[in-house]
Amino acid sequence: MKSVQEEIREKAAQLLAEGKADLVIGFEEGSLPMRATPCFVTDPDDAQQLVWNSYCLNNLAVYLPVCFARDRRLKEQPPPPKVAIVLKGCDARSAVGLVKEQQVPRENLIIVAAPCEGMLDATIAQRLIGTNEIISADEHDGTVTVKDDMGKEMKFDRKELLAEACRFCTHRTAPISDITIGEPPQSDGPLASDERFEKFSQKSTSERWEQFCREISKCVLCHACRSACPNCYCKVCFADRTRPDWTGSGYDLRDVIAYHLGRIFHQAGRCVDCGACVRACPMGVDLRTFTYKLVTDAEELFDHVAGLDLEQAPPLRVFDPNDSDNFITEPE
Amino acid sequence: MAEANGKDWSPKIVAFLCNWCSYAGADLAGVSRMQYAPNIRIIRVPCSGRINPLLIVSALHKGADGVLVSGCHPGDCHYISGNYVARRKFSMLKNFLEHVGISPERVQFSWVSAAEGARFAALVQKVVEDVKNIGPTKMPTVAVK
Repeated sequence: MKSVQEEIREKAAQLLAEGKADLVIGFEEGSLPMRATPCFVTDPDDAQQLVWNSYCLNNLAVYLPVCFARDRRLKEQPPPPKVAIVLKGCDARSAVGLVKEQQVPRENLIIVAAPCEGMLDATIAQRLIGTNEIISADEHDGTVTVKDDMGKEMKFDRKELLAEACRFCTHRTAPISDITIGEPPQSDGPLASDERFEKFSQKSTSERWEQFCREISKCVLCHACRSACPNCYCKVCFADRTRPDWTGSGYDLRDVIAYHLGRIFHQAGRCVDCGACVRACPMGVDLRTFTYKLVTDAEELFDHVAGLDLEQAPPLRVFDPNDSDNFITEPE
Repeated sequence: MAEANGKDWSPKIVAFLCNWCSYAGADLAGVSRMQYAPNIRIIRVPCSGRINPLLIVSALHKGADGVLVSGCHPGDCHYISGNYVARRKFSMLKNFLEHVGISPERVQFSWVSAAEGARFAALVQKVVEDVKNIGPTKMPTVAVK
């Protein structure tokens, strides 16, 4: 049987050679161990660069809106490219969201669904290993052997190194795909319960505000969370606008709070909980505790799980006359 | 912000009112000479559906102690469905703000028709009382450790 990686390379080369795709977006070997880096292939010969392993963490759907962006300076737009993209379950849900929001024409998109059993996060391994540098990592039957530069070897259960979002993942299988590679994943459903979110939700209002402010205090406004998120494709972000000046333009904590409230709420009904924002954050802000509220709310209030169905309208675009009125203030 | 801590602090509340119902309701309360607390600053908007959640976040960011949003009753929207769409947005926003620790009393939503001057006066009275009870917005300006 062919490995998933070989199959991806073969399909990518075939798509490019036959002219069915102009561009293949996938992963290539990263420059550090336990890392894979996004890779853009336009030549069938280069398809050999593509890899598929346990470190393909990034949500590649983030590159899709750019591929199809219109150039306003041109009077006549060139025809949109045909893009094939290797996606995990969560990334494919992001792609579905982008198609629904008309950022990506479905007919120009070839979704290559790759099997995902949860990706491993190098930063977790690094934390467990300490200050030594990781020089190699091998995975065998659910055990990861990590070697460091002092010659020490450590064995971890795969589950220990799972990225946070993958631990709570509920949809490992891509909801739509044009080409499916490998066997569908064995487990579909969260591997762990989300205790941190539960614990936060049960705190009092003032405690939650305090914790929120404490988390946001770490932020240095690098906007990496925004760059990593496939949903953040606005041409001009509200946070960059000066008229109106939504968030203030300083490093005042008030301004940072306003940015995060705006950015997070912008994901209402759209967030697929892929964890890209959390992993992109250089300061380790626990964004998921706040964004996840929108995921649970969309499901509880409107029975909507983002990115599963191309036909289902985004929950905030439509309405039902019988929607709940229970949050409305009655004067008496 | 000395007054914010003193006894004579009184809240500043931004009220977004839709042009067709709630603003007319507020007008009716005025011409009927109904008494209500003077703490609200009314901003007239075309429809409750016009209200971007960022407007509410921005009001709090720029120092409002409370935000009141009011539109036509469901089914009565001048633009047919603006308030239905707004309702979905607001229900998620209210839950989200509460989740991060902004008291639900601080951001309130209601429906007031053009004929409900008394309801408007009572609503403002209630919102002002609520915000007085929870005190001023505490937006930290320096990092919290």
